[in-house]
Amino acid sequence: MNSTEAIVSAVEAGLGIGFVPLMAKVLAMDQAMGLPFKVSTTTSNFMIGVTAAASAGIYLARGYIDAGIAMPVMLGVLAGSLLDSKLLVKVHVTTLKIVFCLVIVALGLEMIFSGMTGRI
Amino acid sequence: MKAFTDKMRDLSIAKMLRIGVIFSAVLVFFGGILYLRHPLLPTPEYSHFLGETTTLLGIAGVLRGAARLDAGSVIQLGIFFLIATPVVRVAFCMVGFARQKDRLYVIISSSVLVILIYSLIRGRR
Repeated sequence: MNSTEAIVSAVEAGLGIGFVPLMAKVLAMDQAMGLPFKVSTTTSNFMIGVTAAASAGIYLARGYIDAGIAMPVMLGVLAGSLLDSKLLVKVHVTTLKIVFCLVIVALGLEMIFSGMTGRI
Repeated sequence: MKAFTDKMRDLSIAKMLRIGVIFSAVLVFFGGILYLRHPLLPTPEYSHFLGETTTLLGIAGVLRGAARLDAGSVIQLGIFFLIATPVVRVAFCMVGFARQKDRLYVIISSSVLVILIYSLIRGRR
């Protein structure tokens, strides 16, 4: 069991499921591969979804998911993503890129701050 | 029967995803209504993370609880179906690639599926 835990933690830590690798993947696809911006964001989102499914199953099996908290979060995320998928087609790529840049700067500042105050 | 195209595969996956997500959302919404049935209870103590009790951890316990219309169990069941949805998507991808006789991608998607199922089964301590 410990070995399974170690491998799982290593993979999770390496992938870092969440916002940060999504940003990294979007940047990689957009700059290094020259894909259209909307293609890179949606593909990164898809990749994150599949990798998150693996760790989500483990959290569920270990009881880390509190039903009372998860319920409104899940319904809110679902409503938000339904709205976003309608919006994505209509939004200008320039607007998307500006918002993306602002978010990534804020994320970077937050990471630096967490590192300096030792809140990791 | 004409060839199984990429578009046919993508459409079947999209339909399955839609059904899976809507089904789990309905379950979670129903569980939310059950959860909020008694609004005059004191606010839950969330400052200390206790996690779920053992009765809700196994799938058998969750199903029994859901049959009793226990709010937490119904929500857990909905979350279980939500987590199962991307796993089933990988399985659909594998079947789709098999029908297209694309051996490389069958190997890739079946490896992903094996890893996912392994983590789901062996995730318990």
